[in-house]
Amino acid sequence: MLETERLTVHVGGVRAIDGVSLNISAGTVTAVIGPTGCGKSTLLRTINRMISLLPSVRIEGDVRLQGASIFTSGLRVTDLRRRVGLVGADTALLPGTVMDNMTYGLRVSGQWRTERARLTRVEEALREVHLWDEVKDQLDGPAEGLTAGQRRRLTMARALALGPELLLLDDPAAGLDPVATQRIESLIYTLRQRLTIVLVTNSVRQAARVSDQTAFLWLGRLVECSPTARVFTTPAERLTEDYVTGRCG
Amino acid sequence: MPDMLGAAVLALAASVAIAVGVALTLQRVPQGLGGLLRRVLGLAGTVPTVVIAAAVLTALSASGVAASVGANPMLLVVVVVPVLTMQCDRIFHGVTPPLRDAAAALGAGSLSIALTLVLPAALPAVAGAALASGAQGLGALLTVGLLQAATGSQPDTALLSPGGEAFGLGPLVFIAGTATLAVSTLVGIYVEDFAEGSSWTTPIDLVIAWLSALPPLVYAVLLVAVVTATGRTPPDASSAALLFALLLGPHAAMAVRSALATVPASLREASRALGASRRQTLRSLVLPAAARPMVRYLTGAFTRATLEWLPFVAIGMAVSHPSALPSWVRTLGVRWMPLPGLQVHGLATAPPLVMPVVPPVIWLLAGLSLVAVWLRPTPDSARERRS
Ligand SMILES: Nc1ncnc2c1ncn2[C@@H]1O[C@H](COP(=O)(O)OP(=O)(O)OP(=O)(O)O)[C@@H](O)[C@H]1O
Ligand SMILES: [Mg+2]
Repeated sequence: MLETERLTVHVGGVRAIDGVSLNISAGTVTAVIGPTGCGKSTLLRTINRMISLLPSVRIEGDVRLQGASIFTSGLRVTDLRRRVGLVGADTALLPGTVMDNMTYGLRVSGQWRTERARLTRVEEALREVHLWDEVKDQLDGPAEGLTAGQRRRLTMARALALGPELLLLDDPAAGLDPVATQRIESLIYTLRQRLTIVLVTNSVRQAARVSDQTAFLWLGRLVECSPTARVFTTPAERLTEDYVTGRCG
Repeated sequence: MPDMLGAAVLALAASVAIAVGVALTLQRVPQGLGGLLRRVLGLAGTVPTVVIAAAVLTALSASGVAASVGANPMLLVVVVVPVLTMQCDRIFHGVTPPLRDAAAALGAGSLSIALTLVLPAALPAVAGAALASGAQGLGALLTVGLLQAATGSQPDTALLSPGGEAFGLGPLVFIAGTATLAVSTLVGIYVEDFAEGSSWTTPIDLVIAWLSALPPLVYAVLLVAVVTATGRTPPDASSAALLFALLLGPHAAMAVRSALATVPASLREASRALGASRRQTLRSLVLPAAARPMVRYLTGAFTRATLEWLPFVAIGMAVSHPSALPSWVRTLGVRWMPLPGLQVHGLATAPPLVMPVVPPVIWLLAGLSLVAVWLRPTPDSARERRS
């Protein structure tokens, strides 16, 4: 459902992504691992074109979603971002209440015009991230009042409410305690049944636990991309083996 | 002129030394007291230099001291120090916390932190602030000098009855002010939220910052020169309204920008990631979040422009309609020695203020502010966007 073809991205004169060709099929979780600065976030930000908010970005190669290039002029970038959600550990809460956060994307999309339709979407999305029972009584309270783990799931629910086909997660469990981390991981596991997920993570173990295939990036290049079981048992490259066993990187 | 310039340079150097010293000391005083001092300083620093200059010159004239820039360039120190100290404090404060914490954790004392870390990191910004406030101070002193000359040597006879055709200013200023606010708001929004990454950003940025750093005297003199060149008599209601618009515009645009910059880039990014367009992000997220600071900053810009504008209105009135001038303005004093290069012709016979040739000191002031703006630190919003 998602292919990148010899994708090269220059950010501010740095080649952050260098000729990456990836193939991701529908309904799978793809983990992207690699040392810090290897271009993981840049890859995700290119896939939903958030990267173009930065000045001086140059992109070569192509990214195809359901067979169509995301760079064609016919595709509106706002529509693309609704179809491809991006949530990271540093994704900001919007000002206002939990409800304000949940309905923002729905309101600006121009669909879900009625209050009733929006509420249904909000409840579905909050249930999907197992947050509904925890926050259903404080929907009109400030979003800042939630715990770190709840906020992280709120930003995920906010993106899920828009009904994306592809969800990009940038180290979603970074800085969370083991319990909150476990919740997010089980969430990824269940979400896979209905959408495609690309999970960037700095935790090799997390990649091993939740993903179907694992891509290993090194200095912007794709070293290898194989089924997770193989990456962690019999990787094709020496570099991959060293990284996943903690001998380098 | 060269004598005066040399003295002004000396005065500016003294101001910088005082301001940097005070601001560095402020960084080291304890929280509570420091906060109080900082607030007082912040208040003093937002008073337009022309007001400080008027207060100082009036006080000196009243006590019989020869009070004019020509006679005593050290006046510049008094006028420049409050503003410059506030700006230095702000600059150091911006540089300090992260650096200071890191250095203190490595065992550095506060004096060595100030000298080895804070001062070098802040140097260009301090130089910029010094030049800008120097130009502002010099401009303000010259303005008050003009005002004194115009009011002090007037024959006290009524040329025109007050309330006659003299100044239909009210409506004109209202129209000019409103139009200027509208245009500057749009410009501010464009530069802060729409121009990112376009090749226009830097030049527009620079021009707005420069225009708002220009001493008001520069606008006034250039306006008089232009109006005179078109064959009209300068101090009339429409040129007064135009001057107000010129003084307000850049301040207002800067105010709008600063207000928008209080909204963190991460919020804009979150909104864009949820499929909102730039326009939707502006309307439903950025403007509501920036509304309060925007009202506050715009009020400040308005007050400031008004205070800067009034002396010129007074000068214009003194020259063309002396009887319409409130008597307290006339008490501002007479001890003004005209500067070479900046002369008011024929004041005694009360013809209009004629300055068809722009005096060199005006070009000097304009040049100083341009260099100052060029040295200024990158605005926070731009820095955040790049990271
Ligand atoms: N806004 C930017 N301006 C300039 N260079 C950037 C920018 N963003 C990223 N880069 C560069 O792109 C490269 C990849 O950065 P990226 O953030 O994608 O790494 P990452 O793999 O996500 O690292 P981490 O694990 O620390 O999040 C780095 O060399 C970085 O310096
Ligand atoms: Mg990253």
